[in-house]
Amino acid sequence: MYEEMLNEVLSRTWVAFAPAGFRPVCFRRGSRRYRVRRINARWVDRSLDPPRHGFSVTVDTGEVFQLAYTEGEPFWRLESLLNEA
Amino acid sequence: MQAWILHLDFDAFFASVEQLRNPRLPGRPIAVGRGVVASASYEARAFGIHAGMPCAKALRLCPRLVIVPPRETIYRAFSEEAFEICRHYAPCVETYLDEADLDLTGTERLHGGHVNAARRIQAAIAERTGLAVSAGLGANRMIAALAAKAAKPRGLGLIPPGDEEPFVARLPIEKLPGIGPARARALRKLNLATVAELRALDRHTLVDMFGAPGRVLFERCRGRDGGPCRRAELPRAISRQVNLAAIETNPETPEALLRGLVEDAGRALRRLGLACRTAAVTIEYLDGIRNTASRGLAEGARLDDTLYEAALHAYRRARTRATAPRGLCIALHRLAPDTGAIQPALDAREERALARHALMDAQDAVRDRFGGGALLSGRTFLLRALELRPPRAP
Repeated sequence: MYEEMLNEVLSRTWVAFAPAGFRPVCFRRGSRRYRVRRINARWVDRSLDPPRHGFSVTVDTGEVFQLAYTEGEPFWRLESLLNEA
Repeated sequence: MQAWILHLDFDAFFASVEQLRNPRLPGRPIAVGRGVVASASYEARAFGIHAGMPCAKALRLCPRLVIVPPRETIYRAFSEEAFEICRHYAPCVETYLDEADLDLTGTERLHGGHVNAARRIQAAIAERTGLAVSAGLGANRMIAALAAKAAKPRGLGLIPPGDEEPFVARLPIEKLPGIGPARARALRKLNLATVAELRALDRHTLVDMFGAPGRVLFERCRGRDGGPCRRAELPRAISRQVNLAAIETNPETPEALLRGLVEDAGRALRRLGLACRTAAVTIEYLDGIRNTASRGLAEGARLDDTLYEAALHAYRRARTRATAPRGLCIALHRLAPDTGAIQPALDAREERALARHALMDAQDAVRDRFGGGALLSGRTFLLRALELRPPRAP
């Protein structure tokens, strides 16, 4: 099991907003579109200014990605891919 | 008024966060650490794996073990989320990375009893973060922490006021805070195995044996601990370590790794707004012998170059043997809030100091965003050539 650091800027991310917070529902990486099947964990790193929101998501292909959104930025980042060893 | 402290302790914290982050991990034995196990899941603990064990040994005990490198910023984000809940319940909350002490004194009627408050906090943390915490209630911090440990995992321990002395009396001496392996060995040589037996020693004997900490031990073995809750988190030390056994390929590698460790620890120091007065280096040799040396700093230091200079001095003093080192640890001690506010530059020297601080802050921002390996100094560049990443920070 290892984490492949990607640090890619996502060209497009679809986000659902609700009173309890927001969550990614879909994102485009290169020419491929991934649908978020499950949010495994979410956290907010408030030690950074502005704060950064982290999400671990399982997508429709079964892969587990870590996404990040820094408040005020116009894009999301694909931080890493959590691989099976 | 009767004092009431609630101690909260996350169960297998780092490992639990990793199991949340990666849905393939729950139910599997996992350890979080780089070279040395920092946290082991309960599935891994069933194999005898525990924090502080070298990863190579852990893998021998459990070949199916999944080892995950630590991501401290993520763990801190999770714990901060939980501590935010705690702050709704107690006027004073002292926090560490995976523990918190809440001073619930005087809040009984507000929360409908301390046990109720503890249960509600445990449930709220589980709901918001998905993490399990053990809780302990007692009249002081030590008793509350011991109660929480006894109630692990997911439990709630309560030691009513007045029961502190009998509770600690039956504990083995190693369980008493302040008694590490060396002190435990010294006491066991005297045939003292339990806290009740330790009480036979009077205050002067304990002071003669252990110096000033002997006075604290005298109180603790009677269930007394006078430390109040403080609002601000002030760690005693910031340490980083690395396992060298498989990677030392030339004499410069340890110094490059030392620089990497200093940069990592220095960033944690600055993030907490602290400065340190002592840098200590511990070298563990292949035959298990450890050498530690430290270097004091005249003023509180926060810049990597100053910290590295002190650490390198300590490293050279500790590196007294020809045997190859197996592990390297840097610890920054005597931490205090960084009060060295940068003054407006009045001369060229101050201007250079200002520039160094600004450069350090800019480097930290880059590393916070892109990871510790995103920027390499000249010394740590060697690690890249060896295909070793410098200790990546969180």
